[in-house]
Amino acid sequence: MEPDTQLAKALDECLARMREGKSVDICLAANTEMHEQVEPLLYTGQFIASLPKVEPSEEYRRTAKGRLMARLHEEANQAKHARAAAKPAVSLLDDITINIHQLWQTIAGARRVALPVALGLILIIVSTISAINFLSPSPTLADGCTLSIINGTVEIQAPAVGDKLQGTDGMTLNVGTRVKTALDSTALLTFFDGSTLIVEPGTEIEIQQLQSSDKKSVTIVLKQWMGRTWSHVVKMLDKGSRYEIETPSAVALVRGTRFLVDVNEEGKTREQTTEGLVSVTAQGEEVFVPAGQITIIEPGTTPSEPTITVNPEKEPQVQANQKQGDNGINQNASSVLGQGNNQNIGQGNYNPAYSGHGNDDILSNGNDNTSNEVPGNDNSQDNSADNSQSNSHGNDQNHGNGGGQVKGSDNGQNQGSGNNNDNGQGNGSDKGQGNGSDNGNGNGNDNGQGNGNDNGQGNGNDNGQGNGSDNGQGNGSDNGQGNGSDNGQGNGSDNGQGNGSDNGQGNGNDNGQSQGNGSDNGQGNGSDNGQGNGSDNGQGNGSDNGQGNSSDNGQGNGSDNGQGNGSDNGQGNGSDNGQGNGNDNGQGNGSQGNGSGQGNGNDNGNGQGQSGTKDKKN
Amino acid sequence: MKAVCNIFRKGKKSQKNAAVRTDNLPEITKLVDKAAHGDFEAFGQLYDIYLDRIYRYVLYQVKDRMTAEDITEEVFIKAWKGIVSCKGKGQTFSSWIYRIAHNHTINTFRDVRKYTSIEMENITEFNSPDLEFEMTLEQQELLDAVAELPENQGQVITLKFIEGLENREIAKIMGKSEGAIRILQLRALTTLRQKIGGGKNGTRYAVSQSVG
Repeated sequence: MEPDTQLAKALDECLARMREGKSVDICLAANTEMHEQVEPLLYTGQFIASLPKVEPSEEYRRTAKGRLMARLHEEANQAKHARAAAKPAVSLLDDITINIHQLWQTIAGARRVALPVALGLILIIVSTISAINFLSPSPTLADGCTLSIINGTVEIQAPAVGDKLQGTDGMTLNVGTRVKTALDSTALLTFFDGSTLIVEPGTEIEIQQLQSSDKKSVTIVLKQWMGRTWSHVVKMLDKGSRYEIETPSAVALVRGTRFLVDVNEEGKTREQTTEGLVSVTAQGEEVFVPAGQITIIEPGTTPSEPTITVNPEKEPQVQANQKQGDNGINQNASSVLGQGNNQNIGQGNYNPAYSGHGNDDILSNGNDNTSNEVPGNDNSQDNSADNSQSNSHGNDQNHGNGGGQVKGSDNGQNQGSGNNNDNGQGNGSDKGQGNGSDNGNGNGNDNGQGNGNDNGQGNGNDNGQGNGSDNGQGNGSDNGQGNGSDNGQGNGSDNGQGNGSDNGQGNGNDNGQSQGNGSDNGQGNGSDNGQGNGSDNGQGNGSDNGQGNSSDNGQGNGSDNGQGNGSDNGQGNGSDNGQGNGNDNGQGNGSQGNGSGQGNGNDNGNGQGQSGTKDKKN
Repeated sequence: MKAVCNIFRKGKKSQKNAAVRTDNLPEITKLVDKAAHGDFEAFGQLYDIYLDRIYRYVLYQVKDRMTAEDITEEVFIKAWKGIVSCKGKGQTFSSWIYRIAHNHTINTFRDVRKYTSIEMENITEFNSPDLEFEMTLEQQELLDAVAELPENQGQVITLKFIEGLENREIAKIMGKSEGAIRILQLRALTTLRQKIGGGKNGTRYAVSQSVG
């Protein structure tokens, strides 16, 4: 046996014993011949085994499995469809053959049919057969990319138009479009796969190719005439995918990385990689530039050998455009004008009809349909069907089972089982079982079982079992079992079992335990704090604090603090503080005595009507 | 020599999602059979069990976090596509998936070398600037030295001492005899010993764990 072989065997035997838990000394004792040579190697092996275990990053761990499972499902679906497609194709051809035969018989039988018509039909059928026979997956032209203007102005030259236009935020740019940023302007392009390009001031680029095939293979080709761009390319999982920037002197090609391309006025290109690996080709020679290194390409020359950058340039932080003024995504620079990421970390289907520049994060096992048309965030986290549609600048977070629609400028949060609709300037929140709708200037919040609707200038809040509706200038709040409606200038609050309605200038409050209502249809307030109703239809107040009703239909107040009613139909007050009624139908007051009286105090004239025990004064 | 420590993190959460251990062969065999019948969930469990190991093995070869992540993902895709061939042979799943990782890593290197002017194997830095430092200087030096080993030797060291595999499995993964593995092991340890020094008495290294 060769000496090396002997030593290798002795070492391996010792390592095997150590694996069984024996100490180095015991292992060596069994092999004294090569003790000297083996011992240090054992310690080296032991030291290697003591190294901390490397682990994937938390981010990778979090996202990779979902991505993998989605790919596996996709692979399985494609295989299934391929099998299914093969069978019908044959039967379809058979059907067509039969149809042709039948058609020919018909034509032959119906001799009056004009020949041109028959030819036309045959041509259509032939076209159909051709389409079937030659139907194969072909690259489809992907949607364009979206322009976000970070600051300043951006000049756009669309291929069909030819004239230069001023770019607008959210504009979709198609293949052939040239983009030029002014000297004080910065823009962000977000591509259909989520890759982004920050276009620094004084830069001119052209979109040369945007292509995707079955959402797997992605091709993005740009021409950078001059200036500086920062690319953030999302991982391209398909080997046929490519993201390429061509400059006057080089081509940079990547499949998932971050890098800077800087082209000066002479056409000299400088490429700096900040993450991953970038292939740079010029004059037929290719170099790979790893993270932290740069290559420089003079026009007409090959790329320089990549070198480590002493002071690597840092990617600019894209700041939120204040004019969007949203509460949503504009909290975080990196997600603002978003980088257009659609992440489906689930096992289900998702249809990100994405033409904006927000983030779509889908963490689900079900069906997610995310339509993000303009800068917004759609976050769907559910196991069921989520439909998130953000048509405006707000945040639509759908954590529930229902739909969330943001069409206004704020946020719609649906964490309950209902819907949240924000069509106005406020928020529509559904955290309960009903809906929260904002169609006005305020908020519509549903935290309870009913609906919170804002159709006016105030808020509609449902924190109870009924509805809170604001159709006027105040608020409609339901904190109890009834409804709180504001249709006037005040507030309508339900804190009890009845309703609180404001249809006038005051407030309608229901704070009682019975089913009585507090209604304001006049200028005062209608309050129910007892078991009856408090109604204000006049200029005063109607307060029910007892068991009866109080009505103000005149200029005074109607108060019921006892068991009867207090009515004001005149200019004075009608108060019931006892068991009877206090009615004012005149100019004075009608009071029913406190406590002990059971009769009524009526003022129908100019004086005072006061009733004590069974007494009656007019 | 550049510090390579930043990619290494202690295994506090190692295989935290893996309810089944790699040495629980009956359970792994069951999962493999289920996955071979198209059970996504079972394959997901196998993924949880082997993710850290495959990722670690690939990373030691490619020395770049992003590339390792990409390759790891492709390894599991390939495994899914070919798992039918493992039906009834769940006990060898471990070496089988390492073998996929081994081949895929080599092919990736081959592709890159074909087009690049940079010798990829000369890049010995573990490129991961965003992870924290948790290693001692000695550990960093050792890791650098492992990274500089010839490809075959580095693979043996990784599989034997980092992953704790038996020679038999390593031989199967690398397509070599067990004798060849022993020789590669000896040469690798000798090289490392020469580079980093150290010893039993007055050693620079605090050794507390057993091999494997």
